[in-house]
Amino acid sequence: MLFSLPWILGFVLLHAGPMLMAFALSFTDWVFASTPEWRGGAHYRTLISDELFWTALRNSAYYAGVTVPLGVLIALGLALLLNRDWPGMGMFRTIFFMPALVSGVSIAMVWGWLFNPRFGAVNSALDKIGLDGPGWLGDPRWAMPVLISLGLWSIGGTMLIYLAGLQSIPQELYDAAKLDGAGRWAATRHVTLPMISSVTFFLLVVGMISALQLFTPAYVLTDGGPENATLTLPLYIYQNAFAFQKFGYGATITVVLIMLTMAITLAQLALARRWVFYAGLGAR
Amino acid sequence: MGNSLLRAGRVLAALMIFAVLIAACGGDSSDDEEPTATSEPEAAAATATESEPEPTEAEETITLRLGVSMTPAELETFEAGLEDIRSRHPNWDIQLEQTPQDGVVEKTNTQIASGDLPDVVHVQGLFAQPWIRQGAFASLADYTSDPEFNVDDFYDAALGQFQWEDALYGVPNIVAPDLLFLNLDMFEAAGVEPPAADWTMDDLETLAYELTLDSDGRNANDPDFDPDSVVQWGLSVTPNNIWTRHYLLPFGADPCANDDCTDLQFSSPEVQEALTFWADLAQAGVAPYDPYTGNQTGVPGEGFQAGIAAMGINGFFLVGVLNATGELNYDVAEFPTGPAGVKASPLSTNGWAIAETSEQKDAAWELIEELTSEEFLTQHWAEPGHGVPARESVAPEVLQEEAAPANQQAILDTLEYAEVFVPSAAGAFEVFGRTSDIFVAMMRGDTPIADGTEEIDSIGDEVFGASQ
Amino acid sequence: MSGIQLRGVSRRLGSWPGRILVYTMLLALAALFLLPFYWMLATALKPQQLVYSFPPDWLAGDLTLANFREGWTALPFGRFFINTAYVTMLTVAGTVLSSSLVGFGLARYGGRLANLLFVTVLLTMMVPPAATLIPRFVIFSRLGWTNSYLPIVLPYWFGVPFFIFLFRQFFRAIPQEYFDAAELDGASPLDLYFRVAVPLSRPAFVAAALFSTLIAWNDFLDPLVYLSTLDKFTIQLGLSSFRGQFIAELHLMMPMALLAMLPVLLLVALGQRWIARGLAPDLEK
Repeated sequence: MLFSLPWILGFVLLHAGPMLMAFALSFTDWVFASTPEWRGGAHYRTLISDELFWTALRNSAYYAGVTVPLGVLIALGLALLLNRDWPGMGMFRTIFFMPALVSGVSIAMVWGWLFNPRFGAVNSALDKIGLDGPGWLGDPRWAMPVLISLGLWSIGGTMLIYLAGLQSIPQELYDAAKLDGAGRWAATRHVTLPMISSVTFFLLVVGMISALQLFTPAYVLTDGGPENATLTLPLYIYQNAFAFQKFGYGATITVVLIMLTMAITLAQLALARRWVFYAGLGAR
Repeated sequence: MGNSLLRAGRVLAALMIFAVLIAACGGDSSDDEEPTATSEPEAAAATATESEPEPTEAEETITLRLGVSMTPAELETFEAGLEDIRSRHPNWDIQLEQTPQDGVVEKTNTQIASGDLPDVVHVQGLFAQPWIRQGAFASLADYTSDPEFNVDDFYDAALGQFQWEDALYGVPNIVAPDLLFLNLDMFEAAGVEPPAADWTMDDLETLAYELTLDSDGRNANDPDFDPDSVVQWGLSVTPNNIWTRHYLLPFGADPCANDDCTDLQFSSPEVQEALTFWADLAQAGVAPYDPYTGNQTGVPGEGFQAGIAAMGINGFFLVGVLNATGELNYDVAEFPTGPAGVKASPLSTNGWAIAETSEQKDAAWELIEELTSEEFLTQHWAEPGHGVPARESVAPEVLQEEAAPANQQAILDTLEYAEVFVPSAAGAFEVFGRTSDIFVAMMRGDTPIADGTEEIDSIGDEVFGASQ
Repeated sequence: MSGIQLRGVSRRLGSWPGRILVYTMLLALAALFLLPFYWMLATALKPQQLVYSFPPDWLAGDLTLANFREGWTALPFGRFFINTAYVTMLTVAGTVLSSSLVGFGLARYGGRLANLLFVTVLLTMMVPPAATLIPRFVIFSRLGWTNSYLPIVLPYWFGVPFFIFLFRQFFRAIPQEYFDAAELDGASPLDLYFRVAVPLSRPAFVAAALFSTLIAWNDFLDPLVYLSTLDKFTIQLGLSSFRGQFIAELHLMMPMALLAMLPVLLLVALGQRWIARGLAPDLEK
């Protein structure tokens, strides 16, 4: 258990306090220069009838629901394609990882330019081939898909972890499969996929958690619009906590977001028993 | 087993010691020694101006933290001015703290909440009132009454941004009005004269139609005009949020029912009529309407700057950008007079405030006096792109005869009546955030103006009512 | 061909049609992935007036390095790079060391406490940074640590949830036989970590190091609230300073954003090979 000591210390010293404080503040009104004012469960009642909260919840669910499975699938496909020592594969791995290198704000600005309805590269390219591009970030139906495209563009990290996972599979297993007469496809199905299922599980859980935290692109590109189509829960939390001077209400939404994320994650953990394969017995 | 646990413990102990060591050498930043000197070669210290000057031992050294949010270009001129101040006050140790614009709200709120605000802070006007009202800044009433400071020299509208219950909580240093920008080449190509000084909203409408061209070169008055293939717009913007009162006032319409503008009356017949004027322009295709490019500050997308709109409404700062690139042949004009016989323009202003938690308010005030002196404003702010000095006596210093635009006087004339954005009370950002989409829908014609304005008012009631 | 045995794939190049298909797909995707970078580069190399032109200028006519020069001197970027490298090194070392140890503990030793700890790891990941920003700042400012790198670096030395979880998954996927064999040889838990888990998960270590490099290199929020003076700034704070209240100097931001990418790009180009070569020589006979 000593192995876990840094984390126990870190959690107690750095995480637990601020978390408890945020939880406590969710029962208060707090403008920063003054002392918090006790409001009881008032914010939680407000939440239920707050349409914007439900909109934000739907948007976050939409983003996570599309980006996570699609992202993991594409990343796995890319990793399988790139997990060979043909010439040029290193270059491709680097290229697909490049988007992950650019920081959130600068890349969001690039995306804003690409998808600008009138000045953007995407629509001027569509125009050249005679198509009339939609309003993208100005169109409530298209704004979220644009953010999703940005999320999918940045899957380099997911791919990298898959590559690491593929490379960690002991060669003996493939040798054994080959002895059993398994072809390439069979080896992938019966060796590769089960052996990286623990990585897949990790990526699904972490991907879901971070997709539910989507903030920067929504903040920089659209600030939640148009017609609240890109208002995500973290953005709504930020707006309340910092811009609207309703830190207490922001904390309330935070608590709800954490509970929701936890519920989803625990469900994933429960389901994991059915499909995640751990080679290490000691894990049990 | 026990042995190995011991070893694990040793590794962890080493790890912790290492962490503590970093902690120690990362050290307390408030003392004067360079905290991480060993790891950061001094050679790279391009910020030579930043290192603390040797205090003269005779007087006690006062450390003053000075918080700003500036662009690199602004920092350059500002730091030069700061050097002058430092040489005049050898006992001051002025620590300049920069916050990137993107993080101003987070950082300032965090500092306020933890009582860690710098002694003197540069505050953006629109954010000022909420912070003033929650008690983040010290009242400057005792200081500003000093006749030598001459508070009357400042533009009234700018002072108002920092006023609360008869006291000032900040001193403005720059003001920046909005102006109409005119693309002279487009006017010439269309064979129309740039507007005269006494132009009206009707003239603006006429010009907007004449200067809008479709891909076949037909203007918007042509019966065959194709609004779907516009290549040149007459006007670049229309009202898109609660802070666009200046689009309405010339029509004799005021969306604010009280001084504070915490009681909204967008649904009044006058405001509805004024909004209809602008919505008609947007829907006729002569003014492009995509408010979401406006959110992308700095992303190429502003029509006038891109050279695809003949007239643009923009802040004074654009003069600096346009002159730096030198591409557009342009001029500026005051806003047109409306049917009510008045002109209106919004005014952005920034100013200096003292943290309520500061332990050296007197010295902080002295620093503010220095930063808002006629000399400092003249030498370090009176440049296009930096804003106009907030003191009337030195505002004309911003005019540059040899540079564009020709009609620079319009800047000073506009300052005579320009007003700060209201509402700026607590809740303003929430109302702004929740109503922007309604403006979009009204301008596009998706929502009738009557319904949209009704909804804006009720959101105003809800938010401001709750925060009273 | 190098003599490296890649796992799970044959070294045969496969049939010609198949090979061409794979390369075509990869090339098409690569073009799509590189397009935004093309624009960043074009913006960086364009004279300022063309940045805002319409229609967008795809193949910039006259290219100039003036933006790189102007951007580099507009703020002390040399200093920012050194600061960022310093913070990143300390962060990555702390992240990989602590997270792998904690991850190992969670992977190998079950029980209620481990499960509880795992839940706290997950829980911490779920908290939006905005919610705990202020309480955390209060702690560090009471300690007098503002405007130092301490509040930014130190938390990583206690383990980072994302990486703890990552290592836990990788360590769990190691077949039990390897541990059993080592234990029979009288290996201690720490030996199991250093002699079994680490060598067998080398790709995971490389991936974690690369990943945490990225995170530290591009971090914005922590440096933003804790660092105040320019001599302490990181690259990201410098970059975002180009976006002002009234104007954004995009023509200076893009070249600097590209320069900021270069060191990490090099690391990734090298690192991805280490992942591909992640062999486990210690255990293979």
